[in-house]
Amino acid sequence: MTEREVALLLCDACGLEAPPAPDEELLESGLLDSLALIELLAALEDAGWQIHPTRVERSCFASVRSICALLNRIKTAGGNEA
Amino acid sequence: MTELLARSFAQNAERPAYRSAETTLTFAQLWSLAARYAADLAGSRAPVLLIGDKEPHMLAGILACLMAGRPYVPCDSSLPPARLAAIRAQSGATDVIDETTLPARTPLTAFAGTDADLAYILFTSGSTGVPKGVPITRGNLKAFAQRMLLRQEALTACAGGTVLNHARLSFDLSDADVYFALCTGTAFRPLTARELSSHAALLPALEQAAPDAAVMTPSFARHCLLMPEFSAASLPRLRCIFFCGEPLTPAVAAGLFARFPHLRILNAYGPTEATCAVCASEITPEMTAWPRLPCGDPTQASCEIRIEQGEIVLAGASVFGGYLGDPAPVTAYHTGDGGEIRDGWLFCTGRRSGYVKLGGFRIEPAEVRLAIEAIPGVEACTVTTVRRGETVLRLRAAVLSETRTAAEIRAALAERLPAYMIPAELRVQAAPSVSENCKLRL
Repeated sequence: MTEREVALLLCDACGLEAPPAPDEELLESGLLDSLALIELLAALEDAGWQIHPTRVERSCFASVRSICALLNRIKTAGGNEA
Repeated sequence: MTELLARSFAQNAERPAYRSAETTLTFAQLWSLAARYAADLAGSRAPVLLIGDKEPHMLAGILACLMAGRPYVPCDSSLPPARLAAIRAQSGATDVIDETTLPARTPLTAFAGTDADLAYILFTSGSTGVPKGVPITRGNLKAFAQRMLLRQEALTACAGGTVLNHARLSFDLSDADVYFALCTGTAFRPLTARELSSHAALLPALEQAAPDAAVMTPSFARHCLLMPEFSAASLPRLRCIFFCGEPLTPAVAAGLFARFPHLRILNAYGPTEATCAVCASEITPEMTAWPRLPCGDPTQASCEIRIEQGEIVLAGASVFGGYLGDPAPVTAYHTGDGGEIRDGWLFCTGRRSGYVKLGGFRIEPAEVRLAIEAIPGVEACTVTTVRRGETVLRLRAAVLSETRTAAEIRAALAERLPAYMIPAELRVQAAPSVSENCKLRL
């Protein structure tokens, strides 16, 4: 999944007017609050990404870039890592 | 109401009443603790602030106030001091029960008060900028317990087991688990703030709790469903979930049936002003194909339910008598919720006016706006909601200020408002912009 695609998912999950920049901080700023995180994980699941929230650090969701890094790790691990 | 509780406590004395990861209290122990708190409360009729999260003193404090004939005011320990002070002043509370309160040596032996007395005052977001007090009488509570809660066969089939609570006690959804537990000899198992803080902490807590029944908001169920481990395999005892606080979507219900093949789901409806919930429907797997789920049978409710111009209007037994400090009595409560009655079912079609619901919490955007505008250096502000369909995703605040940063405004708000009322999106601009249709916009 590209940074652009993740940014668009985030845009929808958080109800943002414009997609966030790749390095924009999402957690501290309150943009990705707990409700929005549920929306994002559900959207990723719909897109075929099974993320086990019990095994993923919250900090993985700090930016578009870090979310992409997480997805890449899952892909490399054949979907078993997280 | 007190007879109902006294009978249950007498019948279930040795059963567990309160469970946490660390402690278990029996009904006899809980009663004894409550009666000792109550001894120090007797002699006055003024409200009592109950301050805490979900520790044993909160459950015992509820019971103690009912014994002593005094209304309790549940307050979350995370509330900012300024809001707690406002609630204390408005309610006229003269006593506090918190984790430091020592029980008296001699228990109270006789009950005080009648069903006409107040059971509790719940403070919710108010559009005038101060928290709004909703007084609920013991008679209201009894109507809720006897005519609604204890008539839900899917729930009462779990009596004597354990009921899971996730909502704060200052959120009246908790009435369902607290009074179900106290009235039926069922153990109350709250999830603590620490257990709720992450999925990694939540899963072992759920497994340790091994609940027979649970009271949840649909948002919380959705949060749980993100964990593949949340299933009948890890929670084999879970047989009933009671939902209230916001609309349950067919997708969430379908997700639960897929993970828990034998689960019974209750979808309840009701505003704080009519005591937690006024009616509930049992949801069947077939209903998850419907566009909207029913939320009750209006003929089996804790009050009278009618639809006036598309709005749900409630009157009678479980409906409050009017807001605290407002002399206008309420004979029929206009909920601001859109609704229709079809084939004998009540369907809720979303908020039409007044407060908004965000993750089950009710928020008056006007109160948030007034709180922001009260911060020195802020000239003006708008607070709007960001929605997808009927669901409110977040609050968006646009603030006009030359001197304040977003971080400063957040910090100032945290001193006045509960965390759930602080807008997730907060932008500051130094000058107003003018939109295409020449209206001033922030």
